[in-house]
Parts: sequence; structure tokens; C-alpha cells
Amino acid sequence: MFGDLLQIALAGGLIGLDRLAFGQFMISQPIVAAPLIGWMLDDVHTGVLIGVVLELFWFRGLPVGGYVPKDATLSAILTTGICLLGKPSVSGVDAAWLAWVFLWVWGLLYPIGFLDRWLRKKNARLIRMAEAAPSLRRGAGRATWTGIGVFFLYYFLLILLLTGLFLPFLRRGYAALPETLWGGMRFFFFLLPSIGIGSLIARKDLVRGRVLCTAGGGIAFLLFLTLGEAPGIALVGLMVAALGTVYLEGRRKAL
Amino acid sequence: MNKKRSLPFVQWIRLLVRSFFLQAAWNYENFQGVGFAYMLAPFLPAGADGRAQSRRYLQCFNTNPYLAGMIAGGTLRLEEECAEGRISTEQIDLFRDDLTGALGALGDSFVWGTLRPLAGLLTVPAAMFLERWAPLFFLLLYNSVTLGLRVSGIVNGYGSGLDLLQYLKRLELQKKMYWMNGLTLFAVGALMPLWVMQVLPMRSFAYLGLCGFFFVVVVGAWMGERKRLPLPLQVGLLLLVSHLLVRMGWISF
Repeated sequence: MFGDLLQIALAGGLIGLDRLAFGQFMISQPIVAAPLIGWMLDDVHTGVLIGVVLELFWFRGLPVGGYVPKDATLSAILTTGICLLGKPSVSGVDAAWLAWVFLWVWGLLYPIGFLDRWLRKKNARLIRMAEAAPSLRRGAGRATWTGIGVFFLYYFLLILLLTGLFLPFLRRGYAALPETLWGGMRFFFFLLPSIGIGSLIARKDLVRGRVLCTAGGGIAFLLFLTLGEAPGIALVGLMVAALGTVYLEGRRKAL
Repeated sequence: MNKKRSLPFVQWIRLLVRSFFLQAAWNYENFQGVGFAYMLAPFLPAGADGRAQSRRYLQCFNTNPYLAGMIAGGTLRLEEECAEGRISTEQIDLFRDDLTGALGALGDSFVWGTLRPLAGLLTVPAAMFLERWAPLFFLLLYNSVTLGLRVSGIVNGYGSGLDLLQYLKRLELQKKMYWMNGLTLFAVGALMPLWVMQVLPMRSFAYLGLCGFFFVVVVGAWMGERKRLPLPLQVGLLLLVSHLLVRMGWISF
């Protein structure tokens, strides 16, 4: 158990670096981070499920300018780690348990946001460190590697402590929940992506062509499912029609 | 106006690798300033005063990490021109400061606002059908674009120098965003019935009903977002509605 916990914390530290300090290759996106943790704990299927739901949910919040949105990476790592390490039955993971863990971890992201901002404020010390060095190359190098170390430790310790502390508490709390709540929690987990999708649509300029695009996508998919093979053509036709409308609308605007 | 210049291949690779560390010392005082200095420090012309260089390069720098290479390449080129006595250090600083804001706004809306959600949406079907390969699919999709932006940004930034805006114009990111947004909404439309398929078999009346309900919830979330409803309230409402519907026996889960 402690071995698994340590493993998750180490992996989480490295994944967190992708979000904060190194690369931004998006290994830190929930759709990658959660299956990765799931794979480490021998349950890729649950990892993928959590990854998809959180990826869609966290469509809201963009790191624009100096704004730091809620930590979707930490949410994915903690939710997957706690869900799999503390799953109540060996046969599989109940969506009610996933929803229960998600809710607590999501609540934790608010105080963690303060910690994140505090750390970034403290990071201003790295500028003094760089300035104090005799050359820019040496100073910037030292400050950069210190920053990497600090961010790694931040994620590593946070994951280790939170998973270790919350796991028994969440397991006990879940067992004490009345069973009548479980159905609602399962349905809630299934509906969670709608919040992210709604937020994504709200950011787009919904001109008529784009509304048609959305409708076209839905209808094309339903046709594809219900009519069998032929609707491949219908799918392409609708896609072309929807995108064509967008194009024409764009051209009309440009003119 | 500018002659086409280039660097040895190894130098390009070093510059690219160093660009990955741009946010390593991110802070609220100079944002990516330390990372930008780390990226360029080994390539700056030798002989300059170390302290003076530190003062100039540890200034505030905040842009989109994927387009920062463009500014780095351009700055490097201008530093070389400065060492040849063709331009002043003030011009370089002005060039850098002017571009950070512009590229930050453009890059943020292209990468964070458009590319990332689109890649995520396109990965959901992959996750349902390919399962364990889905993360790889997402990484390939996303990084094929962003790595291209990073590499071409560094090379063309260095090649263009002060003419960088011409290169940016050729990239036509606004036009690409326009198309990608259409595709994003198409994917949203297709995703809703696909997601419902996770819990109910298709070709049933209940399936269509749940599709409709999911759509209504999305519209509710969209309206909540437009009215700036706080996230905890949105999540709380969703939890309450889910619980009530199941409790009343309208939906069995």
C-alpha cells in the first residue's frame, strides 16, 4: 500500500512538472494523467473513465496571462489514486465512489489554490538568486533548476500527504453514506462533463453556422449509429454541409 | 531588409530543449523572465557585461509558452545584429516587450482556447473505443501541432528578426482558429449521444430521452456560465438534480 502511494506521489511529481515547470507536453491533462496512474495501479479502464470525465469537466478555466486556473492535474491524480487505492470492492469501481472522491478532491482544490499562489509568490526569490550570480548563464541556470526542484517537491508532498490522509477518511465516509444516495451520485458522475461542455460552448462565438455545426455533429452521429453502414456517407455529407455553412457565413462577414 | 541567417543544427536543438524550461521559475514578479533568460543565456554574444545582461533579461516576460520560441529566435538574431553595431539594446528590449503581449494573447486563444479542447474532444471517442491508446492519441494530436509551432517559431523568429510580424501573418492563426472552432462544436454535437451510449444501449426510447436530458443540462451549464454562476453552485445544483431525479424514480441508475 505505502509502496503504491509512494509510486503515485513520484509519478505525480513528474506529471506535475509538465503542468508547472517543464515542457507543457500535456502529460498533465486529466485524459493522460489519470490513465497513467490507473496503469500504475493495474486498472487502466477506471483511469480512462476518470480521465475522460475530468478532461471534459475541466474545459473551464484557461491559463490566460497571469491567471492560474484550478489544478486539473492534481484533481486527476488524486481522484484516480484515491479511487483505486481505496476502492470498496475488488470486483470493480462503482461510479458513486468515483463521484464521492471527485467531490472531496474538487473541494480541496480551493485551499490548494492558495498554496499554489503562495508558492509562485515565493518563487520571486529565484529572481534574486539569478541576479546575484556573476553571469546570467550561471544565475538563470541555478534558478531554473531550483524552480524545477521546488515544483517537483510541491506535487510529490501534496499527493503523498493528501492521498495518505484522505484515503481512510473517504473510505469510512463512503461506507457511512445511505445507499439511497448512491444512485444520485452515479448519475451525477455521468452528468459531470456537461458543466465543462457548457463552459466551452459559452466561450465560443455562437454564430448560426456554428450552432448548425453542433447540431450536425449530433445528428450525424445518431444517424451513423441507428442506420448502420451507409450513414458513413451521411456523416461526411452533414459534416461538409455544416462546415460549408460556417465557411459561407465567414465569407459573408468578410465581405 | 534582413538577410536570412541560420544556426548550426545542434544549436537549434539546444535552444528547443531549453525552451521547455521556460516556466521552471514562474512567479508573479517577472513571470517567465528567469526561464527566458535560461533559454537564451548560452547563445548571447560573448563579451557583454554579465550584470548588465542579467538586468536586461530578468525583466518581466509573460507570453504563451509555445510561441515564446519565436521571440527567443528573434531576440537572438537582434542580439547578433546589436553586437555588429547595427541596432541598439533598447530596440531589442522594445521588440521583446511588444511581442510578449501580442503573442501571449494570440497563443493563449489558439492553444488553450481552441487546440486543447479540440484535442480533448477528439480523444473521447478514442478513449471509448481504443481505451489504453487514448492518452497516446491525445499526446500525438496535441504535440504534433505545438511542437511544430515551437520549432518553426524558433527557426523563423531567428530568420526573420524584426520582420517577425510578416511571418506571423503568414501563419494565419486566426483563420485556423475559425475552422477549428467549427470543428470543436461539431465534435461537441457528436460527443453528447456518444457519451450517453456509455450508460444506455442505443436504439431505445430511453436512450433518446437521456440524450435529450443531457443536452438540456449542457444548455443549463452554458447559461450558468454566461450568467457567471459560481462553479460550486453549478456543481451543487447538478448534484441536487441528479439525486432528486433518481430518488423520484424518473431515472434508474
